[in-house]
Amino acid sequence: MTTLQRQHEIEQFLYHEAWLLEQRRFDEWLNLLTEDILYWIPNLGESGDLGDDAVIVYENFAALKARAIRSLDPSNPTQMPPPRTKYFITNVTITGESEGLIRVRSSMLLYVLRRSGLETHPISCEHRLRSTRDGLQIAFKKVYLISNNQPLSPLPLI
Amino acid sequence: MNAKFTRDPALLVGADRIHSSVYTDPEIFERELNLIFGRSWFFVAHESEIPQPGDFKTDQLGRWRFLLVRHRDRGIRLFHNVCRHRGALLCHENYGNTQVFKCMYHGWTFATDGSVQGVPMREQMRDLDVQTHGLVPIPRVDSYQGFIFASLASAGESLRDYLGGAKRYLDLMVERAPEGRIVAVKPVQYHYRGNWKLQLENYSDNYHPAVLHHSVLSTGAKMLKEKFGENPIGAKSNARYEERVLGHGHSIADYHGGRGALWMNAYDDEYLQMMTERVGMERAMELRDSDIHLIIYPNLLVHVRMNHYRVIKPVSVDQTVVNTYPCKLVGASKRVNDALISNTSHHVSAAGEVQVDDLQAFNWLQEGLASGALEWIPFKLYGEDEHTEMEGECVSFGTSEGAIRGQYREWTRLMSATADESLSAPNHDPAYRW
Repeated sequence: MTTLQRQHEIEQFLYHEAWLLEQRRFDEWLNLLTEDILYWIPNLGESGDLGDDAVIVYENFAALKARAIRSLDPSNPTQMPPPRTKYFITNVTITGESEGLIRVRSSMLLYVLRRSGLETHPISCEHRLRSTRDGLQIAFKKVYLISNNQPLSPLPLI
Repeated sequence: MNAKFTRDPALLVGADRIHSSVYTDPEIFERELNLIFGRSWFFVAHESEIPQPGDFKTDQLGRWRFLLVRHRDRGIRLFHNVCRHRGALLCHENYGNTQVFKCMYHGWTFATDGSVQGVPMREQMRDLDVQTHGLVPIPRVDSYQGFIFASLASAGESLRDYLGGAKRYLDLMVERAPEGRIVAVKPVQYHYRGNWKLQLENYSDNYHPAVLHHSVLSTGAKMLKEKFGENPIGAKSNARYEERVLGHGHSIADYHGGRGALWMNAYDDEYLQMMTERVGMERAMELRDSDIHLIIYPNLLVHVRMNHYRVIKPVSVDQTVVNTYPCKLVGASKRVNDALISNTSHHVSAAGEVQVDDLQAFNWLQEGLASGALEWIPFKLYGEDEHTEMEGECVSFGTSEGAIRGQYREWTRLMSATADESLSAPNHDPAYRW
């Protein structure tokens, strides 16, 4: 595969992931994750290890599955009504490849529309992707909200 | 109607009902800042947030901007975070370490005890007494078990008297650490469109969880059952939820095992063994199994088990920020402390799974209350076997709104027009300035 093809494949993958989240196809989104995924939304900065710092989210597959179920549960107050989301993804950069993982950095602008208004979240994303028989899968995802040092209002599944 | 009420806030609160303007009237909010936050003790920080000399933290509450710093003598000082020269915000970082604070407008500098260190072009100033131009201190600062409180009033009851019965639950919070100390981790922060008192009420409200948090409880229960079978959290069926109204608006809710193993994943055998060595098996188990919500009026919530504290920061009548500080148990393993932090984040962060439900409810409440449809809000839920114990603590069992009624008794006391006038305008108290 040429560099251009690889870049194209990864960009398409990220667009597809965002589309599933926008469409609230959370079950299908779970299929994009490896069983050993680590999903991390750091607090206050871009890094900060759990233990020294609090985290906004630091979860494994089972916890993400519970989140996906809850996001579709009509008795979930945060989904009354469900927020509408729109993702804009750019600056997709393959930063390296090691131990079977392709490391990808991207910039994301996430709009969340709720009753209270439209919120914008500029985000730096880091994906570590594994090539499997079923295509690319997400083994690690870090969502760095540049506003993570400010008081936040509730966030959807990103 | 409103004009009459705003003249005497005491008329807005009955023994078991609250006038809805208490949540929505900006004038009442201003009075709360002046009369509650302006003269009562309020929580500022835990000492472990600024462990070393030169460590500082800045914070805000209502219109106030604070600068908390540990001086060379290891003593803690609290100032208005405002340059004594022209009044600009002095320090712009949330946390840090410094020997000197420098105003970036004209370059005045201040030591960590607040004294003036340098005034550029000082020789050309006329009649400037630098001794009297240090940072403006907060009149009273005191701490208990490392929990630092402050009062903007120069006189009033001592912190210990103010805390009263709440002290023993702060004791409990630190006694659960193998080395008898806790260390606060930097906070996760959320905000909501709603009055600050909604969060305070919510933390002592055991009436809402089964409804509002239904989806968490059902999803969580389903997953746990898949893994561990029936009654996976081992909830004690005979547990009696106890509510204790401590006076001054403080209260606790003690679950007494009714939430079973919820958040108990953090505490392992090694932890229990360490605690047993220190306090004996029986007490170690008691401490480990504690599951208590503590409210210290007007702005501190403490969770004894999940192991965090939260600080409520009113911004305006319908905007509130809450900062949650997970606490490490000093002496416990990294595994234990990681789990404590992770449990708190999962519960309380803006992308957490429980508190966000409450934030949604706060939005609904504020929008509904602001519509003016309702005049009086009832708080008429009572527990069983209500009785008064030592020092006037009111105890009851089962779900009750007693803690909320207690909060409004304190609200009324502080907001009452007949209160000591010398305390009613802290900003104009002469002792408030150097």
